[in-house]
Amino acid sequence: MLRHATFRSLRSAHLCSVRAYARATSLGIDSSVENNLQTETNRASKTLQKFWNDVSVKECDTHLTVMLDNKPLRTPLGNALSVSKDRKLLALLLQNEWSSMSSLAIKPHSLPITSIVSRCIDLEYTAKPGSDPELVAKIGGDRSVISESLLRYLDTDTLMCLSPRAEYEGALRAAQDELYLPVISQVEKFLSRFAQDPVKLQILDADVHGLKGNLQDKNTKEAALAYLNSLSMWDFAVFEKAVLTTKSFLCGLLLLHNKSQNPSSDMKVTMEKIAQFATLETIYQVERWGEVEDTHDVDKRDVRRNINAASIVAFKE
Amino acid sequence: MASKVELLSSYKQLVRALVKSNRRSKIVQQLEDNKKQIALLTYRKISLIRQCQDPDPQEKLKAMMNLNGLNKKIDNLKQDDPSKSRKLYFYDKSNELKKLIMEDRSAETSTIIKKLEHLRDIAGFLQNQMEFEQLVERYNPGLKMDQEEKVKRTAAKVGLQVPDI
Repeated sequence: MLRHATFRSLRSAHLCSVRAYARATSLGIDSSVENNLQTETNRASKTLQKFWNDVSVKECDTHLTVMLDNKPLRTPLGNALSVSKDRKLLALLLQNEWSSMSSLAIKPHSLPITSIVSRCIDLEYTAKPGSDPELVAKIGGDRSVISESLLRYLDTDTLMCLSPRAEYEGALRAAQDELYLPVISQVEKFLSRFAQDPVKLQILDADVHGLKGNLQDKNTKEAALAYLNSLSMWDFAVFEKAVLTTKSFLCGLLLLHNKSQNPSSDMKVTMEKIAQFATLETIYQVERWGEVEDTHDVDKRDVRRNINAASIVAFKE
Repeated sequence: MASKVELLSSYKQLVRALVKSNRRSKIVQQLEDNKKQIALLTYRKISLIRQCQDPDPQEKLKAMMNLNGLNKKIDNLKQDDPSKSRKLYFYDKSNELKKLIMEDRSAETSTIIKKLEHLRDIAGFLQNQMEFEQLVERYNPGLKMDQEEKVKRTAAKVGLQVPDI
């Protein structure tokens, strides 16, 4: 089930190129024979039943581990689900997530925080030198491959595709100019630190460029890659989640920057604001055409819960 | 000082959010527990009924008494409505949470502001997660149905009825 979440994020990262691959390895709930690791998450994903009575957090020197009936909860790769001591609230939330589950069946969408934290832990585990390449392939844990696919979001970033002024009587474009342009210039400044030349982000303006695709230049890409390489593996996994949720490289960067030790005041935004950035066009569509049931209302919560979950995992005391 | 007050108020908000988001699952868990208890008691009841046929009148009387007690317990469990329980208004780990939030290793304003934002994020997460789950359940009623109900409805779709057993 947790595997489901991580594979899904991988799948959407690769979009169409992964079709054949997706069929080759089993996605979704991993009930395949080859995954018979005796982990709690695996057991839960196979039986879809709640089998524990008590969820607790065990404290050791450096880490807090979530325990089900005195056995550590494990990630898809079999690592203990534990967080460092400067993330005490996170441990409490993980505990809450597992103890407040209704006993009927475990649904993949009911454990967003566990899913991100497992991804963080497993990525950290596979990033260690000398780790099994098969395990790396299993969770899609090759950092350079993930970076490559995340960089593609920089070309088609939600915050850098501006709609034509003729739409919505120019209201949408005005809002985009007001919200996006300052962010873009701030991020340019931020990324310039990672490059020799100052970074200039290429914006796709529908009035000027029409339907043409958008590509960032080499300097920008190198700077963005240098930024990604500067992240710890934990933050990298959070970044991945944020980008896949918002479909925006800039939103991921904003989120991480706001949760870093010393965020600059120019780039200060709330998580709600990031969610608005990511869904600005939908907001105007809903205003004009009305809300579609089972789509707009669900998506709205989905984006926010994922952004908030990512920010919670990123936070460090 | 002002920040202490703010921390306290966001702690309260957080507890409220936790209580609200845990409410539904707590009810379901309690119902499941009750069901298990009832099954267990019914099993014991059956074995007691067997004992009632004991030829020794004293044994028989004792078994009868026990049986009455059991029946009462089962009835109580069946009538129990977990949604009215007072337990639903409390968060079990509130003491721990309060300690985590209120302990101040540094009195720096920037740290406290960050912490407040963090607490707000958590509350936002809890609320959106709860609403998301409610919506998913509302639009996909099949998720909550048990197998029996699903079979019944599938049969009804093609004009058949599942026989009562």
